[in-house]
Amino acid sequence: MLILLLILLLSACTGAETTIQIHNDTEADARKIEEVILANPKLLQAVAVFHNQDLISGLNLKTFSRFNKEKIEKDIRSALEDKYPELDVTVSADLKIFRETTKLLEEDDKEKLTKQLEKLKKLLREET
Amino acid sequence: MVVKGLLTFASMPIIASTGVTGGPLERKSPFAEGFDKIYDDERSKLSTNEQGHSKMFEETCMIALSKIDLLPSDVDFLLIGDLVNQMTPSNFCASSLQTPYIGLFSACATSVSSLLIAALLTEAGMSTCAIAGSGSQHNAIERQFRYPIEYGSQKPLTSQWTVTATGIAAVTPYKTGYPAIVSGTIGRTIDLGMTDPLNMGAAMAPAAANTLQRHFEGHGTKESDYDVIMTGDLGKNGFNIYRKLLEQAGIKTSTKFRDAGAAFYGDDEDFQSGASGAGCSAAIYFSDVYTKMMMGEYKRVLLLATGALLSPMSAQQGDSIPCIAHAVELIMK
Amino acid sequence: MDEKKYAALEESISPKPPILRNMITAFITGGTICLIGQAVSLFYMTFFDFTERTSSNPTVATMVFFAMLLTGFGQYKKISQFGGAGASVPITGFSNAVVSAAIEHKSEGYVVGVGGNMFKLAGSVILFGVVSAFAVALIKTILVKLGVVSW
Repeated sequence: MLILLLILLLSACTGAETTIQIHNDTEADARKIEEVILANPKLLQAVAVFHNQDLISGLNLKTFSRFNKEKIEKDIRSALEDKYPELDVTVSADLKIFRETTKLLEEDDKEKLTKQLEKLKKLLREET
Repeated sequence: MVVKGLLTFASMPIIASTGVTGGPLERKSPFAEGFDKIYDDERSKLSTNEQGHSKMFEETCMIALSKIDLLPSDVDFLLIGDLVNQMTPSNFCASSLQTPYIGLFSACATSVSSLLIAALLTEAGMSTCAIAGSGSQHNAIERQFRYPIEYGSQKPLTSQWTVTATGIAAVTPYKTGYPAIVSGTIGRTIDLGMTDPLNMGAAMAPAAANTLQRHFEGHGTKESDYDVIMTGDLGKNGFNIYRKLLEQAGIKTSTKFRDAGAAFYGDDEDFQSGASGAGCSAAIYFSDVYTKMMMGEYKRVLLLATGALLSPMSAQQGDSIPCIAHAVELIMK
Repeated sequence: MDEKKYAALEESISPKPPILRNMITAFITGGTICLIGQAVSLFYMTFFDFTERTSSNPTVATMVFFAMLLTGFGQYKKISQFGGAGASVPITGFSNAVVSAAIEHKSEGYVVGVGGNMFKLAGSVILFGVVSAFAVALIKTILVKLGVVSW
């Protein structure tokens, strides 16, 4: 019983490397975002979707960094807006956005992709 | 020191019969077999708890009367009381029975105070049958004194469970073969500054100790004269404090000293320090003690019912809890 | 016997509350309630279109619903007797306070009984919660006007 508890607790401390997954169907250079993401030690995982004029990035933060969620989001957003001035950048550390964006990685249908991205942006604007 | 408030009954009125009933939870009590009736529904299918409380009173009075073949119309005086505001359950019972009625309030000590008044009326030659007793109903009283029944507040180890029970005694002039009321002591209100309504045993213990000492001194008796000295509802914690107080006053306590509240539910920890309520002492005195006297196991007993004279508001206002204990001595000739 | 001496005697005899045991059970109970809350929140995020921020609304409503069911079936008081403060946590504890008072006072009718008494226990939570929120907002407004902090 105690061992199970211990394993459960320790499994959170994976100490994993930051990873990023990207879906890109525009001419934007995906390496720039890779640099930004991999340089930030507070991120556990990130996923980015480039489509038309939009860049949506979902972040998965390390557990204790979740206290600074807003600040980290703001930092990444301004860094990406710098690197991609011609794109409409959306960054969120919200779990829902991260999961939905991960699902979009496999999406090939352009129409659906556009609609989903619009939906995600709308979700983020909801206050309550 | 001259002790005041003493009663002696030369004509020795008797308890001719008793009626004791309990609620569904009281089935768990080791004393439940001695009860005349255990209800499955505390409300007796009526719409409010208070109405159920009143119905219990009525039926218990009828049980006591039927054992001596009397009807409510044969009763001279109805002397009962309970803990609900303005004692409405007793009032509605009196309304049903249509007997001359005086409601009595001594909180949980009403079982003995009503018995003493009934004995006085019989001694004065004014009563051929008087009904005395008290009762309580858990739901009705908890909602008044503490929190709603379903509210999740963690009860401390010193708290007591208010029983759903009613105990009634029919008091008549002397006849052989029945427990006779020989003397009594009316309690003085004792307040030693206890303010916690969830630790009433500690508030009531000094009152019980005081009345016991006054009874011994005033009537010239001692601990060894009795087969059992039973307090009403001090609970396990209050009973320990009471015994300590008696030892400090030079009275040796022994297994003769018992407490109805501490024993009511046995060792069940769910009930914390034990039982309390106006029905607690009445139920045990008029079932277990009465039966043992009728069977000759007890020849002389001293019953001290204890009561906490607080109200929900006085506790909220930060007042301490004044308590009282009345004593009655019964003899089986 | 004087009051001080009696108080000392009573202190020495009355059982002390088992603080360590109570702390552990409160932790377990409160933690379990929060675990269930997190599960409900994840459920809403997975199967419906709620983000982390917006899922707190239906989660709170669902926890209130669970506490209401448990109170109605007479189980919440048992959880509370075990867990103490852990079960008084806001949301479920609040729901229990309101629902138990409502059940209790149904016998006095809906308007005076249920309506008038429902917030008997929860009323002070609401009152002091609103008052302190007002006070905090006032302090923050003053600080922002002075330029010490920003919104």
